[in-house]
Amino acid sequence: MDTKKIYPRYMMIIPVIVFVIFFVLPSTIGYAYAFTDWNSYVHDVSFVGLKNIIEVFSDRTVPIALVNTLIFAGAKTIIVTVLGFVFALILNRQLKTRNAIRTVYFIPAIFSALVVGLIFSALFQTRNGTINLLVQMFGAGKIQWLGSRWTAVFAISIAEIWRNLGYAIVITLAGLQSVSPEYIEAAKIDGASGWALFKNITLPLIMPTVNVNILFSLIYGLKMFDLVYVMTGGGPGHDTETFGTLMMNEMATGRYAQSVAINLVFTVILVIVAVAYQKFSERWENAE
Amino acid sequence: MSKKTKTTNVILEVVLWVLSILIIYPILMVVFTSFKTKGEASYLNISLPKVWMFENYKTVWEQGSVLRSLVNSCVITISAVLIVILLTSMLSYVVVRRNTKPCRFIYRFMTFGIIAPFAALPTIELLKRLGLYGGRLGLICVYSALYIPFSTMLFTSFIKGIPRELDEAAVMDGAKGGKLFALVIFPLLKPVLATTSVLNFMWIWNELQIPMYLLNSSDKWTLPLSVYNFYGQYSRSWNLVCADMVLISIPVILVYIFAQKYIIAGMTAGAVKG
Amino acid sequence: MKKRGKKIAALLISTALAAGMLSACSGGSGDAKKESKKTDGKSDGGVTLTLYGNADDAAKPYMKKIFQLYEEKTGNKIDVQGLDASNFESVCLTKFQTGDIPDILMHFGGYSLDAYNPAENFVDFTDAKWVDDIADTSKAQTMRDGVVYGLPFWESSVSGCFYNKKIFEEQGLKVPTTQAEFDEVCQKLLDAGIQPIYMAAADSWPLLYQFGMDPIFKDGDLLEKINSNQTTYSDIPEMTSLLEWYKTSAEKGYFGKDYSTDTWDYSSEVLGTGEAAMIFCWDTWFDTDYDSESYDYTSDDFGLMPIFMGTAEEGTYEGGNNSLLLVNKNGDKVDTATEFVNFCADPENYNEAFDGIATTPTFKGMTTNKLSSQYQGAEESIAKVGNPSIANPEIIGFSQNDGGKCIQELLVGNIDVKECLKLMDDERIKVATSQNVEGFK
Repeated sequence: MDTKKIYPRYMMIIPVIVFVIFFVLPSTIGYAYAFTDWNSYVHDVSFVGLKNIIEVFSDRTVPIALVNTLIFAGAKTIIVTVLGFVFALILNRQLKTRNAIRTVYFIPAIFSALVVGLIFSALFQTRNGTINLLVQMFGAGKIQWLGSRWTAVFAISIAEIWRNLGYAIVITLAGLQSVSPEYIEAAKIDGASGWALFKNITLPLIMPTVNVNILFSLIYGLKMFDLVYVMTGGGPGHDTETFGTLMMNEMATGRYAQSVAINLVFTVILVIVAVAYQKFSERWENAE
Repeated sequence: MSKKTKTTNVILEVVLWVLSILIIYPILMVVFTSFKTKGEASYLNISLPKVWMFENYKTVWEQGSVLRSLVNSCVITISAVLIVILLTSMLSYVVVRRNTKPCRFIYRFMTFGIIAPFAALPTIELLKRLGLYGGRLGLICVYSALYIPFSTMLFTSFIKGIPRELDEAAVMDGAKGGKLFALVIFPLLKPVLATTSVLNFMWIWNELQIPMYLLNSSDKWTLPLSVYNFYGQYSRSWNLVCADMVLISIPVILVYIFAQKYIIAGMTAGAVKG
Repeated sequence: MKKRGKKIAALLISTALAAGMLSACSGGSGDAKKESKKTDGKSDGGVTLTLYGNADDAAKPYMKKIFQLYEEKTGNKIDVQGLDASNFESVCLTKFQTGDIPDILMHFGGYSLDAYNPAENFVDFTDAKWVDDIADTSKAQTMRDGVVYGLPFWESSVSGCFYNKKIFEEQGLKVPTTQAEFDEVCQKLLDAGIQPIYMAAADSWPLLYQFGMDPIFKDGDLLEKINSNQTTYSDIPEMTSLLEWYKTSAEKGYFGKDYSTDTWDYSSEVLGTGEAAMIFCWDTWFDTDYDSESYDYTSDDFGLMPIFMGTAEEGTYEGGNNSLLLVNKNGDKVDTATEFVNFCADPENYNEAFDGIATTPTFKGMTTNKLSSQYQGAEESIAKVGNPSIANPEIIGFSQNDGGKCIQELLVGNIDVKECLKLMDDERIKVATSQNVEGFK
């Protein structure tokens, strides 16, 4: 059959054009500023070569930010994907209050980072926060959750997971709908049931969706900054800084070129992670 | 349903409701706080308001010019979401079905879109050159482009699960191109269509920064920006901030509840009966 | 199946069309409105001036009042675009760079104004009638390189240490006049189970370390040296004592137990319930932001005394920072915008706007303002040991936030005083270098 006629090119070209003009073009041009001395006080921008990039690698806060970013992204990706998958499977069963439960679990996702940050700052607040009241009920002393690095990283991760679980559930649920009941019926007739049914039919069919889920969690996790910004501002000191907050800081002091330079380095890391993951997941999907 | 499945379902249901406390508790905190006085709201907690201050919502409604921003937000978000889902469903379908090298490249290329950030300055320059800067239309175009990658990936993963035989059968009946897509494929995409719409709606709706860069008069501002009327640097009226948050979130919840029907529709309707 | 498909397709296409039309219409109706305004001609003109400002700043009661007065009297409109504090500078500067410059900008004076390239972008008001009317304490802030660029239509606050008079009385404490006396007061409060100072260290900016730096840099020589890279914080012994003060006060418990997670949001609550007795702050905050209604102690229960941060033996106060109204000189509404500024500078109008506002006068002709009770109680002392705000607006590369983060690290124990000074220097020099300042290149 003539695929070119059945699947016409224009259906592909229009979206790509919109994408390229309004996003790819400006973003790519934006990166060029990484090689300039552009900042709020310099009115004639000129090229300075790799100076800013080199500065990124010698910045003492970059290694801290890298570690934090990886922790945030890793913890979030694993927990959100697994929990999202489990909850989606349960919510795909014929529960009586299924719709109500789905709505409740989805609500955190609709709040902006500002609200979620605000809620969790309050929950983890030292003086009167709910978590500390609970901790005290069990006889322990007050904990300054957002006052030192690892407890703050923990608190922020919890907030991020809380906010993202809803997405993961919804996306996985949508994936589960593409598993046609006919397949299941057919497999049942063949005698498959329980675990075997799940492993051989359901799992391979929703693998593409789960992969998308993982990829999103990973990339958005790596890009995370707003929640950190609201909850700790990268502090105490620079202990909870991520790549995102570093960029914000440079931006705030008017060092735009340096901000873009961090971004460029970061993008390279992200592209490597994303491409590696896609290669890996393609092999995985094809192997099934 | 067997008896065993039924019991399992009941148990699971109970477990889910118990766990949902972790979600409901913080949300109730926000809702209760939105009805408190300023002093009572200084600590966000679960206690009931001593006096229910319904006036908070009135204050927010008036001070935040909520009505005007609500209209702006609706126009901008709905237009952008429709454009995104229309464009990306077509794109993903063709990319999956053709599955040639350039198509796979396009798919990879989309990853860049998720990774790269929005670059304010070049975008403003571009929109100026196109005569779109400052207005809602420019913002809609940028949003559409911004959310194409995400939606493409979601659609692609879903379309992979739709058997090719369907297309072939339809082609036999004489459908191809746009007709094939609109009549045969599009209806099958309902669950993912609903999901993508909800997620895009939510993201575009909640966007706080891009409108500030791309709009040039406060008549065109979107709803979430109203929160800054109450979220000051030196004093924050948590009660009003919370009331504003609740108002901002209601439309998204409504959209979700509406779309939920379609998210599960695929299963009950039997997606592949064609 | 086919039928349903058609239906859905039709539905979708029609909604898409409708939405497209809707957005097109609304875009159109906006223009139509503008036109109708013009032709309506409520008064001759009916020009809309755009104004960018920090959302908080633009929402001050006297700003709202003056916008309202102006709109009523002229029929013109001010489109106030209040941007939130964390995005204000980047949004505004980005727009300036693309040439989208508002008719009026609200911005603080001092070095940071240079980012907006004032000579090229703003109207020179040096010869305006109102220049002579500006209070002497505010005049310097309206200028860059000897040119007056903005009208200081703003409150003039005094920053210092605010203390709970009732608690001091109950504890039999006297207002300290030296650093040693201040430390003694802190210790006594601590012994009585009251947190001496509320220090919202988690937010970084409320560390307000610039207060302690004003006395160091009031001698213009040192300022010049630091701005030309001939000296550094590490070379200045007072800077060491400033940081040591933070470190030892924290260790002794003067900031309470939870300072590392305390945020500014809770300052009303902690002061109002008497949990803490003092805070470093500015007097207008107590008038406009402090929540007197909800707590035991009202704003009148607080008095003002000098700040002792280990740098000035007799303490210090910091004078106000004024936000300016600046006019885009290349805009097509430059005349109307200039008229607006002149309107604001008219004694009759500013007196109406500032009626009952607690501030020291920013204009010589200002009579309707009231002085805050805190200011009145400390007037003599302010005259004696007060300093204008120097460190924040004048030191190139100074950042309240970055420096505050260094002090956070010091308090957490990541670094010692010497390393902290080095870090603060590094941050400052980094910013100054990227700005190509003479001596840093």
